[in-house]
Amino acid sequence: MKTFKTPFALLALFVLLVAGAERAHAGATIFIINADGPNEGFNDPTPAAPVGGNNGTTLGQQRQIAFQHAANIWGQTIDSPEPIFIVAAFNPLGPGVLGSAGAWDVFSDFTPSGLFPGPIFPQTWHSSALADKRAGRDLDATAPDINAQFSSNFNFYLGLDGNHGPLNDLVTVLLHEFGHGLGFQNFVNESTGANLGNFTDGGRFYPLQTDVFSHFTLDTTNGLHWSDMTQAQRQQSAVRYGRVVWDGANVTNAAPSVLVLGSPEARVLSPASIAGAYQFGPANFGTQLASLPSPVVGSVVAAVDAAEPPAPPLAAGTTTDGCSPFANAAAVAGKIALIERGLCGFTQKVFNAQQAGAIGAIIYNQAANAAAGPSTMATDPVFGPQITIPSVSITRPDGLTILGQLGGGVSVSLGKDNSIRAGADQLGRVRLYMPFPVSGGSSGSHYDTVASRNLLMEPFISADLTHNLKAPDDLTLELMRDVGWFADADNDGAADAADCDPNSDLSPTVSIAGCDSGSPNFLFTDGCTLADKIQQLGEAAGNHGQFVSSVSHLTNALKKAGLITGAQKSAIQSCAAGASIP
Amino acid sequence: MSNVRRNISRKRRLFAILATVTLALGLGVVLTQASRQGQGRLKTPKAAPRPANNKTYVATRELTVDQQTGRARKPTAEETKALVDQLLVMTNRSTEGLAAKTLPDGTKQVTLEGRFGSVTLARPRADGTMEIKCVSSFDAAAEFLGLVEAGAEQAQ
Repeated sequence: MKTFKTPFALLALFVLLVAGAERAHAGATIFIINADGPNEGFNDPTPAAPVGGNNGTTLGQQRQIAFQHAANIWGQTIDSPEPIFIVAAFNPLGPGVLGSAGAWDVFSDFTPSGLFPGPIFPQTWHSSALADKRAGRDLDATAPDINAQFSSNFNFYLGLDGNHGPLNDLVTVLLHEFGHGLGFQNFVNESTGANLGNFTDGGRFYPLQTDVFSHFTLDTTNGLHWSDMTQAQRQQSAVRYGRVVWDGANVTNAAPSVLVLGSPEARVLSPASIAGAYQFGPANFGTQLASLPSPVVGSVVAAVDAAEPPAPPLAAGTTTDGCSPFANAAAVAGKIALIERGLCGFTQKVFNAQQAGAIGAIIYNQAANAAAGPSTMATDPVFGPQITIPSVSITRPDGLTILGQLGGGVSVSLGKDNSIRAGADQLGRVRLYMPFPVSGGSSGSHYDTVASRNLLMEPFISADLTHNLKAPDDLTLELMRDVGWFADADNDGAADAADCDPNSDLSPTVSIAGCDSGSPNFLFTDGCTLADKIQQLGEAAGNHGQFVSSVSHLTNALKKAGLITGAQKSAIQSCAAGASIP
Repeated sequence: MSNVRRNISRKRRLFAILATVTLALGLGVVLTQASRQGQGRLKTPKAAPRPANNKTYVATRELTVDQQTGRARKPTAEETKALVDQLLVMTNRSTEGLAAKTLPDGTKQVTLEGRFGSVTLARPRADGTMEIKCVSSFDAAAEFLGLVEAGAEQAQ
């Protein structure tokens, strides 16, 4: 039986002033604020037939219902005592532009209150909704937390059931974009590496500060988090495809239940100075990397062929483009051919490599495409069907890196590495998407596209995604946990893992078996309320006398500590005496 | 569940019903309040400045449906310019002109004015379905939508 022998024991669990009844219990409440004018967007009166559980009768209603459905899924997934407000509108956007979303504002160095812990890191930007959750209060009651606009001229699937067929599921897109707004994003200008800050407002200078996301963005080549890098280091890191990972514990621990073993990779094995996974574009011909029974491993040899004369409108060829039969076929045989892009099609180059006896081929971008990412290589009816060897395309910088090391020998593996989970590194940390080019910024606020199963927060929003945000279907919630969205079922500010009662009785007054004492219900620093503690005493008591006695001990101690009045003590004891407990 | 908790549960059944009714009424109040709060927060971001970019872009992909023929086509030069302008604003990550304040307790706040967000894009696949990608930079958007600098389109 729990007893409180001295008031000091209670003082150790000191009481916090908590208006329990004002706390939202379990989850988070997310409101969509309709920013559209009459007869547009959310207010579009065009009649609509029910679709996939969305029973709105107009296009505008169906949009509202889909938005609120996505908001509710998030609301059931994360916990916050503060409502989250998303201001949203549908607008005519340019061709190919579906929408945009993000945090309305960011906060740092806010103070804790009650059991709410405050910032996860000091001098670190938190997105608005996350900051409110960790502050335990609305840091700006005049502003929304997230803003979103979507295209009014794109034909989204508006059903709620995920059965979108060939259309694109609005709910999935919203789940993705709301995820960014809730904290799945950095605030780095990835083209320059600059953090957010370095400006003056109201006479006060705001220096550059890192963000929560960057604290978990780890570059495995130098062992530094983005939060600890210089601007130049971050800029360089933003193009290190395959070598930047998320090292938050929740994501790493859950990854094995989500990501399959067997990662398709174009990996340099040696020399060590350039070893690692390389960003690649797949070939729509030959053997796919994922289909190889085991990786193709070999030394790399640069292809040499005749320099083709100009044949207008085509320019002259080069000795590195692989468009003619290889002059160094003997050297290429049994090896992986490295070929420069340009002049002829991908298939012709790979076919020539195969004819020379190559076991695989790598095509790197030519100078004219130096800033482009690796292409998906299209097939053709002439060479494509004849090709059996695997091949990939890579960026020009990566191609030149390999080319520069050929003198000392470069060993490459093309295929599926069954010791690595698809989307993770060798240590099981989930990769972030840091592709080339990034001269305008990459997309580091996403998981890598090599993840399998597909994840909601990859940049490409796949058709096979579910609406479930957590393992074993997804890794979105786990990342949100890492950035500070701790589980808090009763939203009292104490994380469930450290909460004396994760589902506290947050009634404003203490009631015992229906008897309302009228005495305020306090929250203690261990996450239990006074009502919780009295209930625990009831569960631990062997008989009614023990229960009444232990409640008396407790309330006497509270009275002695000055936390309740004599009248409140008497009221609680009276309720306890009258209750049939146990 | 212990006997004690079951006992408490039985005793509380009636109370629970009453509490539910009370809660429902209370929830109604909360929702109403929240809705009102929400309307008070009805703001739209200030138009972010268009970052300097004097390049001319050419559309190399069919991204739009011609209103007259119903066929997919590449955006016109005018449509491409408008699209580029829109993407430059949407992917703006500059801090120029952002509003910030420091609250009395030391809290720092920066209003992002629609910047630092993500942009969702779509382009048609060969089978007629749409491929969707989320980007956060103009260059990533331009690459996905096939917008290339004038004169560089032959380099594909």
